[in-house]
Amino acid sequence: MTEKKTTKKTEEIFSGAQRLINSAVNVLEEEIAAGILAAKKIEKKVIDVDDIRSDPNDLLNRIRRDTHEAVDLFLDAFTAISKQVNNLAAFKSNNSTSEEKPTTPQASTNKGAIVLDADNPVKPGEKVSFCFSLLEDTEETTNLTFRKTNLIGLNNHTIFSRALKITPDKVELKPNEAQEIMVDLTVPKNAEADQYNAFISTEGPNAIKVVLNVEVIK
Amino acid sequence: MSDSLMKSMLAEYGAATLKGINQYIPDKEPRKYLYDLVADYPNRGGKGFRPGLCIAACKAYGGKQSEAMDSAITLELLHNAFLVHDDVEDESFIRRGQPTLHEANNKAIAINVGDAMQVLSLYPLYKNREILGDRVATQVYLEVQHMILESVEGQAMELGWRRDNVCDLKEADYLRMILKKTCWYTCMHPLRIGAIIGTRGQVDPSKFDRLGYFMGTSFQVQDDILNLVAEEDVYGKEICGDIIEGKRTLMLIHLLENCKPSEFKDVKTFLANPIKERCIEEARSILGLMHHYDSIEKAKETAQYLAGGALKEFYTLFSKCHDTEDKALIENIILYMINRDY
Repeated sequence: MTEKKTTKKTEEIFSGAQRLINSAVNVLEEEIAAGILAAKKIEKKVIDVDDIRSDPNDLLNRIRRDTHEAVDLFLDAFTAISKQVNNLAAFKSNNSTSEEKPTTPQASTNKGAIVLDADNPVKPGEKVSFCFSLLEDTEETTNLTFRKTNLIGLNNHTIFSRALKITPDKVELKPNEAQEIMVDLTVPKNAEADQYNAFISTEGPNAIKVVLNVEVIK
Repeated sequence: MSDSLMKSMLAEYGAATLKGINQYIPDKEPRKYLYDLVADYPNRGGKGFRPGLCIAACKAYGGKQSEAMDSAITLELLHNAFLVHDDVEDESFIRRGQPTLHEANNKAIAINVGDAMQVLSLYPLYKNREILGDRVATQVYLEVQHMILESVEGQAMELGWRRDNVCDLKEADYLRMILKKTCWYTCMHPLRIGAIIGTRGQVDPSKFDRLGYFMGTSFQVQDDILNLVAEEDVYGKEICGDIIEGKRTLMLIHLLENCKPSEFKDVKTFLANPIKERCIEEARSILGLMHHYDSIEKAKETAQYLAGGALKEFYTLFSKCHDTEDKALIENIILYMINRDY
């Protein structure tokens, strides 16, 4: 009897801790998504994106060419702004004899986030789909399980994560194998008008980070 | 590693940082109204948490203490600048066992001193170029920029809640506010910056986010608990000060979620009064309600869970690092949080 009680207590503690950690991780990821979008907006305002993207040597530009054309690549929130400037600095270095020339591993380990914008605003009850491709470019097989956050609006409205469907939600990528991932958002009928974003990510050292950005109108 | 060794390492890194801070304070007038006061809070002796984490992460990832010093100085100067301004914004009376800067002088002088500390924190970042090179120094600079922005956003959230007397907050609101107000600058960026320096920019700093977030939140919740249950002369701030200031702590949020409607109304009325009209007896009565509804026990549990989450992240992230005193320091800070008995 005592053993049962102890087991039950342990399970309660584990369950409580798990719930709290999940809640905290969701908050963190929602904030990361918001940060990425804010950085993206600043980048649009203050940086000549066409000029930057015209550099054929830049790793990020190579990634851009290799990914689905609907995929627009921007930089991770906190590396965020840092990476923007680092890359600007890198362009300068590449054109000079600076000893600070960045190396490819540096750029590739600071994984950027992918921002997927919906082409058009959507209304409550409508469905919108996003798509991105993954390519395993190492010699190892990678298993990925996707996490998703709620969609948070700029005006603090929320669409719960159950409105998002990721297909497939688990992926096993063998060396040199590519896989297309679909993300379907069914906007709830009671959703408020707002500019929403959600964060989709995987666990592990080379985490995939995707920010969805969609405007809901009435 | 024992608690005393952990504290002595933090003290050692804190002392080196303080020495650096003092070197960056101009030796010129106006001393009485500015530069002497800039040195006031740092010299009162804090925990040395931020420089400690930054230096330890740098060394654990293969760097040297000297390479992280200027960044540690910036972090500690900014932390103290935040404290000066926070004390004005919170109308606090005591900081580290002494009157707050604005109480000992006045609000205008305190705000200006805080401004000066923020400006002085820029030069060590500039100096970083000499030892780290342009690329890594720029990365550190932008880490700091992000850190400050998040911190002021978090402070804005809490100040806004207090101004509007928001009383329907949930645990997730607290987690978001504390992520922004405390975690980025207390743990996440110090760890990230240290690792960036240690690896010369070869690490993905975002992998330290969960560790820093769990650590920072656990630390803040425990600090908030101490504000309610510790001895004033040991804690260094006024006991129940957070209740009087109307800080939206996890305990207050839990209480407001769980108390009877009549009690909710009383607490909300108390919080609607100007700070100077809130008396200690009322604050003690609210503290009694927090005990009655297990709000403090619940917060202790939360802090422990988060510290447990931090420990798991730590073992994942640092398993490939060599076993060093600095790696053990970070581990022990987390273990200290888990085992804390108040």
